[in-house]
Amino acid sequence: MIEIPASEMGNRHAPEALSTVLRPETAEGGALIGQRRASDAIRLSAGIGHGLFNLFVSGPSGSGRHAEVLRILRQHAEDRPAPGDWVYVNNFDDPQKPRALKLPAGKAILLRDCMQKVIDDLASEIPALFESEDYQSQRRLIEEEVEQTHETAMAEFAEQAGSENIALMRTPMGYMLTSIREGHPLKTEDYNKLPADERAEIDEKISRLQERLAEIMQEAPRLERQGRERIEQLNATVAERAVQDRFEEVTEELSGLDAVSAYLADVRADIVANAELFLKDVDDEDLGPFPEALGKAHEEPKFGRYWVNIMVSHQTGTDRGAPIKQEDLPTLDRLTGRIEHVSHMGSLVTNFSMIKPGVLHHANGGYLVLDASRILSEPFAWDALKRCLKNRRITITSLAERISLASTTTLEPDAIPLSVRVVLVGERWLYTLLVMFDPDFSELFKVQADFEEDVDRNDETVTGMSALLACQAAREELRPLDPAALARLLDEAVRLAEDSRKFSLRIEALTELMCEADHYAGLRGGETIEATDIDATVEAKDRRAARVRDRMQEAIARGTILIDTSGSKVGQVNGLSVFALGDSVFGRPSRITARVRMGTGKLIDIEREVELGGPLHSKGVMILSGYLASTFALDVPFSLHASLVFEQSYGGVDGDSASSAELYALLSALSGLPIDQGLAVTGSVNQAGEVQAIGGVNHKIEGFFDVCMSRGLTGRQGVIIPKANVEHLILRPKVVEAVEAGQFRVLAVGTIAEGIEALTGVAAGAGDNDGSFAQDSVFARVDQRLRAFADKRRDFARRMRPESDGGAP
Amino acid sequence: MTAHDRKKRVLIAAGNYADAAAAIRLAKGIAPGLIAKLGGLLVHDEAIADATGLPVQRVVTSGGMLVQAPSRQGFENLMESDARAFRSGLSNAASACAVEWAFERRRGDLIAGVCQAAGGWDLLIVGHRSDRRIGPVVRVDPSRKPGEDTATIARRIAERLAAKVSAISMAGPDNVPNPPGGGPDTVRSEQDLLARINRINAALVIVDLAAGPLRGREQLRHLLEASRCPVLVLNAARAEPAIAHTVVIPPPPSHPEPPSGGDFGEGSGENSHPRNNRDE
Repeated sequence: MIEIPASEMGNRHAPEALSTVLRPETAEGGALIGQRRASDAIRLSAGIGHGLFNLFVSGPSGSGRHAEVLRILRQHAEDRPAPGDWVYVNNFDDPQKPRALKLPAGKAILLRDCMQKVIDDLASEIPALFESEDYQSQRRLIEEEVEQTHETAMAEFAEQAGSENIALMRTPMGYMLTSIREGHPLKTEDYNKLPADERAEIDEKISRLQERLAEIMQEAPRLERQGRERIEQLNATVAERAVQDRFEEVTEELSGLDAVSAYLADVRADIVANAELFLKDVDDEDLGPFPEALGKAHEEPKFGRYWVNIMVSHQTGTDRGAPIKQEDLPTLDRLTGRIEHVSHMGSLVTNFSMIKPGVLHHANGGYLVLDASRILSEPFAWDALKRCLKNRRITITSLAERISLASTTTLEPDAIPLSVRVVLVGERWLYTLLVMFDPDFSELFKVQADFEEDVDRNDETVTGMSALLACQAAREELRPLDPAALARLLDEAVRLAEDSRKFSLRIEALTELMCEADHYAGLRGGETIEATDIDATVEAKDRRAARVRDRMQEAIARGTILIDTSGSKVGQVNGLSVFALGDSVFGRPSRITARVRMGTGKLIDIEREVELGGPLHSKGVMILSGYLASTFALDVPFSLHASLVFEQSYGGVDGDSASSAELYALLSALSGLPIDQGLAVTGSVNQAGEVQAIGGVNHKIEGFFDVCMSRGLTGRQGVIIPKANVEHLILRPKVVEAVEAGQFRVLAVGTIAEGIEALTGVAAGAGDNDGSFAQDSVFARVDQRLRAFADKRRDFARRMRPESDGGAP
Repeated sequence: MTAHDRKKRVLIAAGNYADAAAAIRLAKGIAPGLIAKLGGLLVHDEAIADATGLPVQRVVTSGGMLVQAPSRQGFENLMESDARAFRSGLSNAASACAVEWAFERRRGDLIAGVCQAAGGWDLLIVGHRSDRRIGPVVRVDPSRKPGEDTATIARRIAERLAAKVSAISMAGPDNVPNPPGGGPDTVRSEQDLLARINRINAALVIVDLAAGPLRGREQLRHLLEASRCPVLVLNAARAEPAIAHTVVIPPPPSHPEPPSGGDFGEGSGENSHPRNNRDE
């Protein structure tokens, strides 16, 4: 057993060892420390050329994972070329399948502007050409020719019919010919009275002329068709005249863009073929106060077929390097883009201009950082991301289409080739689940960057942490830290790690401390953050979270919860447990009692019996049972019946950190030796009787200290902890000061023997080779008690044996 | 507003719906600012049925097909159908132009019927099937200066149709055909007039039967056949009666104009009086 000196309980940072007030010139820098393994993994993923080396970043939240990922990605992105622009344009052959065009960076806007200008210009130039007297006269000439040809034939026919005394009657079905007699149409009954030769003559005339009339009527549609073709040809010629000059200018402006030249040729042909688009409703347009030439004709829906839908555009001046994009809400639509619809006459319609980009479009050619849990919780998003990464192209599929919710016209736009490095940031358990249950994951995410939770405490890391915290302060635009404040902050980093030899790497928690301390510094009008601000922050934070702890302390102080901190009792010990709820963590003592009697080797864990004990707690109880059975009274049956309980525990208990305390209570009950109630115990035990390290040692000690302090420190009070936990001690100053003043003790033990000696004040009595223990030692008394139980059991068995057994011949 | 600018009550008359449709299209085109009320008159000319049934006689459809001519009952059925279509087309046109309308059916000679019914109307449009989209508005002028009303109407309609006005007049005692200084196209005789109009691809022909040179119903009939397009008639009620049949009858110069009177009697239709639309 070792009584820990106060000097080993704090190991605090000396402000003198730190530099003067840290004022970093820039918020940049301040790289994470102790994360070299993770940083190297990020660098590998960011720099490697192969497509499937996507990255999964795991580790504790608040460890600066996002910031480190972005810092490294920015370094790599700067050296990479800016990716090209992407636009969707109309597919004039099949509007349902819009075409994707890749353009050099910055050219998408140029193409869009050029097309808008072209449409605006042609919207005024083409109507002007078509309204010109030149065009109108040519068109009129064609139409007149066509109609005149037909009318001339009809006129000639009418003249011929008239000259042959044949009348042309108009019936509801069409024309009908009949003969004229004495100025009247010949009635059928009169016809029948005519001589045969006259009837034959009339028949011949009617037959011949109606055949001729039929020919003339049949000719009309052909003439009209020819006329239409000639007019269309004229229109095309006139439109071509307007389009040619304008497109030559555009082609020159967009020269060197191979993808565009074919598109421009299609646009040109389409405008020529659909020149009437530029003519409709010209007179009805309301251009407001602007003259026609200044109207934005390209905004009219009828010219939508010539729009350029920019999916991704990079500014040549401001966008340098590869893009780095983050998406906080990675839904399917936001990830891969979407196709919007508008309601038109009661149905949903769409076109290429309603294709909206997703974050994959924006990140294409660079990096995309996503939160793993968010993308996994969005319907179909994870599946879509994997599909895009695997196929190396972005295919837009709407959610409604996927689940057959909507049945309406939709598009099949060209898939855009994808080259992106995806970085998922998530928890370790998520990584494990993905590796185990998603066969695609390991194929697509070949690199893991696993962030550490803490880092060794040494001169190098002290310097690194100091620089990091100073940069964090600058990044958050806080007041600079003075050396004392920095030292206190480093102490908190150690305390967060729960290890005096480590710094916690939960940078976010430390930054929060700094932010609050900065607030207090501001309230007192300070220009720097001082140690008192850090202390105030810790105290305020502790107080905010201490409602439950205070109520428990109050219950103990009022005797509602029974905890002895003085005197001694048989079979009763103070165990220590930790309550954690979010940031609120505190320790509290619990009374553990043990009762024994003769039995059949059964140890009852009451917590487990009522299902309040967790599996680790049950395991600890079984281990101590094994220790007892294998250590004492080895040559007789194990005839103990014992029960163990956490008194006044109405919630669950888990963990094996109380197993040593439970064993001490049992040993006390078996030996009849009382335990000093001024001591509390923590530590787990193995079957060899060795005391093992536990977690939360600082909170447990402070919890018992608070109870003792409220009742008055006696100097005999203290806590027994495992030796392995000594290096984890980083206690609050008030505890250290009490220890220093001899008012409180922290004892470290390596074995149960050491612990029971400290608790009872009686030697444990190590066993000899023959299994006997030193006279009057704790273990000897335990051994004797167990043997006595065995004897009683044997006697009882003998008494209970039926008489017939003894009297049988 | 002068009397010439006042909106007119226009009666559209035809012997079948195909002819009426052309006139309705025209009326819709010129209605704004010109028409105050629309009337429709469908005249069932039984002379056509009487002349049907010759052995080789066929109907030549607008598409150039030769089909068997319908029976008398078939004609009756077709006229019923045409009446419904005419009525519907007229009401649609009136709705589009926001004017009142009335519809009437008659039996008898077309020209005699329309002239008689035109008494209560300012203008009469006699329908004739036509697909013409361009072509002038032809004004048939008297030998002296044309009436101001006729000229104004012709000009306003021509503006609506984006067409030009072409005037033709017959040489009177004071003028000679086609004088060298220009002016209206002048012909010597009615036959020349009809022959000239026969060769013109007119969108509409306008004639004032009170002003001449055409004044009689037979002359109107010949004008309609020669025009092969709708004919707008002013003062149709003042037309001199003539023989009734809806056919092109080459007027033999040696014959005098036929006596007036129709084979079927005037106003023998089922609705002898125009009625207002059914909404009233």
